[in-house]
Amino acid sequence: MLRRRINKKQIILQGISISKGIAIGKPFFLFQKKNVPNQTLSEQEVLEEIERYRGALKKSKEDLKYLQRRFIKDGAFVVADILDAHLEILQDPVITELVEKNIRKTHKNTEVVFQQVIGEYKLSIKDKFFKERIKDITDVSWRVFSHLNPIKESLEVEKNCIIIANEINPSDVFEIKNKIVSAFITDKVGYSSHVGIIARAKGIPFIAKIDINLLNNVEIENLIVDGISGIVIINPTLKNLEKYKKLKINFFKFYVELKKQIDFLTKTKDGKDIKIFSTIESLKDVDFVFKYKTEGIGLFRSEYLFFQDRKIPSEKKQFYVYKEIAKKLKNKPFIIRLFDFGGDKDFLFKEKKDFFEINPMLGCRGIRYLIKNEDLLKIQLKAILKASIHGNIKILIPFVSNLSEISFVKDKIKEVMSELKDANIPCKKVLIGMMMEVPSAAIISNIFIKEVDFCSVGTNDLMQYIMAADRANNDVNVFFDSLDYSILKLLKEIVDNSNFYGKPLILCGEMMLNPKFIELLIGLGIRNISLSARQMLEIKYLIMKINASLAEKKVKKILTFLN
Amino acid sequence: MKIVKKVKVKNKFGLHIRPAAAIAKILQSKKSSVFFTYKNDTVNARSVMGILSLVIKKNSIISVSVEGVDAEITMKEVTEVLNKCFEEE
Repeated sequence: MLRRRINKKQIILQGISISKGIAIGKPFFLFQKKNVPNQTLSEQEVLEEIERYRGALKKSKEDLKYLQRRFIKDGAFVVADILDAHLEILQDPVITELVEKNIRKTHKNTEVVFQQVIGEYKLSIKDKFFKERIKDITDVSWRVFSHLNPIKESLEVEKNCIIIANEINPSDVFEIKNKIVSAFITDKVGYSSHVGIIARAKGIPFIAKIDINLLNNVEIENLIVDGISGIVIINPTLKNLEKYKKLKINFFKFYVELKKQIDFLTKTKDGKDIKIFSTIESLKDVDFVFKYKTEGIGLFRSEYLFFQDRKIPSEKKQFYVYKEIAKKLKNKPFIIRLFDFGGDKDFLFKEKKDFFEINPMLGCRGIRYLIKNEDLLKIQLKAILKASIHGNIKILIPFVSNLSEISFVKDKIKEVMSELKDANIPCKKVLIGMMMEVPSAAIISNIFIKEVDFCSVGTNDLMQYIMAADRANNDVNVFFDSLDYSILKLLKEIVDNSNFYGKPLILCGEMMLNPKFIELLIGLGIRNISLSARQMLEIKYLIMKINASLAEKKVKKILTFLN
Repeated sequence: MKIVKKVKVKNKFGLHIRPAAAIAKILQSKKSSVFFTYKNDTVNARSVMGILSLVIKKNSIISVSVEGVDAEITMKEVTEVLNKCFEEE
């Protein structure tokens, strides 16, 4: 990963870009293993030291509680849960007692004692898996340390500095202000890490896989972070400095340019229309449809309604959300995916003791769960159908693997409609679609497509099930970096079948986020895509650079070549 | 009252930070003293680090000992957490 070119004092290091953008600034070294002050205390000082330790603990707790409130406000309950665990570690009575006892016994300062106590626990855990999981402890002890020495931490960071560290904790990035830190350089940290996600959301350039130790003996005047090509230039030449100053302006202009595109219809270079829809999770997300001028909502992940309240939303609450969104959209399509529980979303059922599966990804997911919990399905259908008169609502069935599941939903819709009619509540017929994400349906998509009005391809799950590879598993997720022939062939069949039967197809999923795939997907004949707001503009930009007929030829060539 | 019970850990990845923290959280409001014993090591269940140091993996059977005025309800709630599955990130 390392390319070193010495040109007088200029050093160029190649890493991996985690977050795009360009920054020029002065370095700020942030080492986890700071020099711990080592002092021997007098009897009197021991008491003060214990107070200092308690004070740092208290401040750390306040920090965590504050962060937690913010995450809860943003609906990020999983993060809030992680912070909950951090709080418990801070409040660990055995640790607190031991630290205080050892301060008294050894007459050493808190830093020394604390590090030793935590260190012993960490050492005692030899199991590799557990070791990985207790990384949080580093985060917690670091927080306590920063409160023991509060002044140095915040003041030494200059404006516009570039932070260099072996590793960065999510909470650090979260708390950092863009104005102060202009970029990050680290050794460890992966693209999909929490830190990476937060940095991208905040628009802070970030390069990883840089061997920090190489910089130990280098005097750094200033440096450039090129988050586009993943390069770090240390002590750049005047020429490079000028070049990057220009690039920085251009990069900014590029984003301004991207924003201008909002008003254009999405067309490929050769004039083919591509329809972009929004993928949303809550009522307030509906604004993205207007902000980015999309065609409507291609995917409403209704299970996130649970996520917000952590309980089953009542029919009334659901009706309100669906109605409000439908009204705001006027007649633009509003595709509601029925609750998609299970799989990697089983955290919603934490409270349910009886919901345990050895292999949740192959378990009671999506429509399977709803069939087992018919009441839940009926409440949702009722809310949707009641809201149907307020707009252009369509129903999408998740995780269909068997035809009977489609007829089950259809029957329930009929049932609910007649109930509504009996109660004199108006409703409208809605179109029904299915998620094409289970191989058993995708392989014979021609048969399934006939049974529905439209279909939606969930690329994440489809790829995962076809390749039998978990995308969260670092050892096998290379399968997701390229498009396997099997997937290409299957997608082609699905697109062809949807065209043949005249049933619209929308592509959802992260596959589009990989620029390498966009051309192939367009070439396969994908014309409708649903995206979340974050990558909308960039993908639109990339699509507009693609020549669709050329892409189609390319795909054809690949398919015939491999045949 | 003192209750001692053998409990099987069902969480997929064993008792790592989040389950351990959940146990500590429950115990905050309880008066009983609670100890976990696994492979001859005994720790205070109120200590997240203590629980972690036992390295308890899925399907391990641990001995839970609860002593105090609210032993029954404490045992019940602790057992529930041990039987529960946490979302694994």
